[in-house]
Amino acid sequence: MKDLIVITSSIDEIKNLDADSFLIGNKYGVRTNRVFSKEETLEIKDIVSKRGKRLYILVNKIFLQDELDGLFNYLSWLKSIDVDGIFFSDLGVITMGEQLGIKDKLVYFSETQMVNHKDCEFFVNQGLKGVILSKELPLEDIITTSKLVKGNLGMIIHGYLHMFYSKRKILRNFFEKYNQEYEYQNKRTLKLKEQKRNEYYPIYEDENGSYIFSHGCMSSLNDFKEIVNSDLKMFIIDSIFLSKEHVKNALDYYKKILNGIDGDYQKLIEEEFKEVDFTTGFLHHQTGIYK
Amino acid sequence: MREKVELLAPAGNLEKLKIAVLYGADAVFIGGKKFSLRAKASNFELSDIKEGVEFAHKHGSKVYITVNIYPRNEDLEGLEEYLLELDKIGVDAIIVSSLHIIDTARKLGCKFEVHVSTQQSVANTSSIEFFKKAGAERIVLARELTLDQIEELRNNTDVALEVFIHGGMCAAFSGRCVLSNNMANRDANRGGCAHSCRWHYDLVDKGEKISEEDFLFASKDLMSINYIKDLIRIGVNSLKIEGRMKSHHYIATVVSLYRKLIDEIYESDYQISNNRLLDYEQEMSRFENRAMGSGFFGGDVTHEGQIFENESKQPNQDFIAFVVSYDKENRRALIKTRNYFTSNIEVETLSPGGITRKFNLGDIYTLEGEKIEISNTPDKLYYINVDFELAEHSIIRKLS
Repeated sequence: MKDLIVITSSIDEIKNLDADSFLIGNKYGVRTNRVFSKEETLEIKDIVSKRGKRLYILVNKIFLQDELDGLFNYLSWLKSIDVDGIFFSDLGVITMGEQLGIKDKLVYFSETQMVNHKDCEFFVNQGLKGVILSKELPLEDIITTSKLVKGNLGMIIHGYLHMFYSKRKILRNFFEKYNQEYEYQNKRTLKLKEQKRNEYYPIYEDENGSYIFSHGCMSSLNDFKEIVNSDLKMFIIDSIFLSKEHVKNALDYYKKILNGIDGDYQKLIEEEFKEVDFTTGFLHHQTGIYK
Repeated sequence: MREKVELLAPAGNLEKLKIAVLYGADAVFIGGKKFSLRAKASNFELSDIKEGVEFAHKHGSKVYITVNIYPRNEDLEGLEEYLLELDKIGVDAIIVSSLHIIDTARKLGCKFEVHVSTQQSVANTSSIEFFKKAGAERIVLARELTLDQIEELRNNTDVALEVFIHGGMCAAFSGRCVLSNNMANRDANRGGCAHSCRWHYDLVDKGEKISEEDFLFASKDLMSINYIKDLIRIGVNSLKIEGRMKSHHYIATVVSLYRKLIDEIYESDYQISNNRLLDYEQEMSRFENRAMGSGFFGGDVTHEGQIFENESKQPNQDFIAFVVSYDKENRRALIKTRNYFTSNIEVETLSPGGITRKFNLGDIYTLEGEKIEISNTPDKLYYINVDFELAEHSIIRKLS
């Protein structure tokens, strides 16, 4: 069964969007727009259950030793409220998942390292719920890999791609270096422009470090029919930096393609959101070793 | 009793491997032609690996092979054969990122150890346990850990721990950056990193450039002289120098310096003075031409740990030649040139074992016996007269 997932920071979206699943942040997750408390998570769980949707939790930090106890307690709590999935990046979560008997809830979401069918197979064979392919894979590799792995694979289909995750406070350091007041903690309006390229990369920083995203919003609307017909099962729309209307319309178009209703949805979304630079990410963009 | 800490050095070719071993590395890491990051630095054919392993083992050192790419589907072919070849050669360990490669090595029953690359950014014992169960014997820790955090890990696991002590650093968590893929079509996790973190950017807010200064976010190189004592005390098993692309001179001097420092720490029973550490720092600054910092060892990296201006790319020119052989009868050394130098200048030699001696270079002679005054071509062979015996692989550098 195909699973259309939205990474969201909005309870309104969770109440109203017609996604199959919602993936939300918390204090053990990074690079989301919002950290939901346990109380909010319970509220969301209730909404999602009543709507017949699924709730996934993003636990994708790289954890330090002193965070392990808290993480273990949090994962135990997630087990107790019976969330539908836990998306993680640090492999220590598998060790804990085993101790807690929740490995079948875990989805490996490292974002950069799942680039071949054998590595995916390794994690599927660990008894995990699924594996999300890395964003830097071209479509051809995605399709091939999905056919070769007997398991639940997924990919990001829409949104700004997360390209850089650092523990360094590179924004704060820049402002401190030049004795300027730093007023940008957790603000989402800054972009980097590489001086020789006419591209703008969203950047922000929070207490966990700094993050840089791709120039433009990756859209796979033109390729989604082929993607849906592959053996992939999970499709993620990442709402970071996107307007609510954008998320709603994109979801609607992907859903239509899933339901076999053809249309030039890429053209439509480009007309609706003229301020957004759309790209196809790495789908048609093979990256090699040398120039 | 705890084993003495290992000094682990990089080598981009066979000659550098020999230099690293002779100058005091307990182990050397090298890349093969396949499955290795730093593809440009990896020029070890299997035959070279074999020769390197034989040389290192003869001198009591170990050889680790980087098999650390995240392979794409098309890269997977030949993996089993390659691992079996490495095992047959007798390499001591492979350094790996991909779980499939770890799993394959273990299923093949390879005798070598498996070391988990820093590309996996391991920073807690749950993660260490995962890799231990997968068959790894050693973890190269994330480079984002403080000294206290490393100690906490050491106190909570029996798996061998390796820590980077010197050389280039990623600005991002290793393996979690695809800037290069995005901007330069070059795959960072397959050895093609274009170092986009070292490029110049403008910082823009809502369409307006908000700073006159260029935005840079690369990390300074790591230099850990002041932390070695504590890393040893904590019980870290291996101290790693980065730099498979670095020169003979770099390998010889950095390895030699850390070798001396480690030995002095043990000999002084950890009582090495601050003045002595300062001496080591000054010695390092003589030839290190890149900005250096101490990474996360002391806590979060501030602006002082980052590069904000174009680095001087001026390479260190002090290294003028290395010794190919010494003719005791005629008391002369055959040298192979590197950088520009003239006759009769004051020089210093650094020999395997860390021995240094100063002398006047005197005259320079071609192989045909012709006296020359200037050498301005690398890789030329010349004779110089030296009163004392100079060991093979000694390096000669100018005294400024």
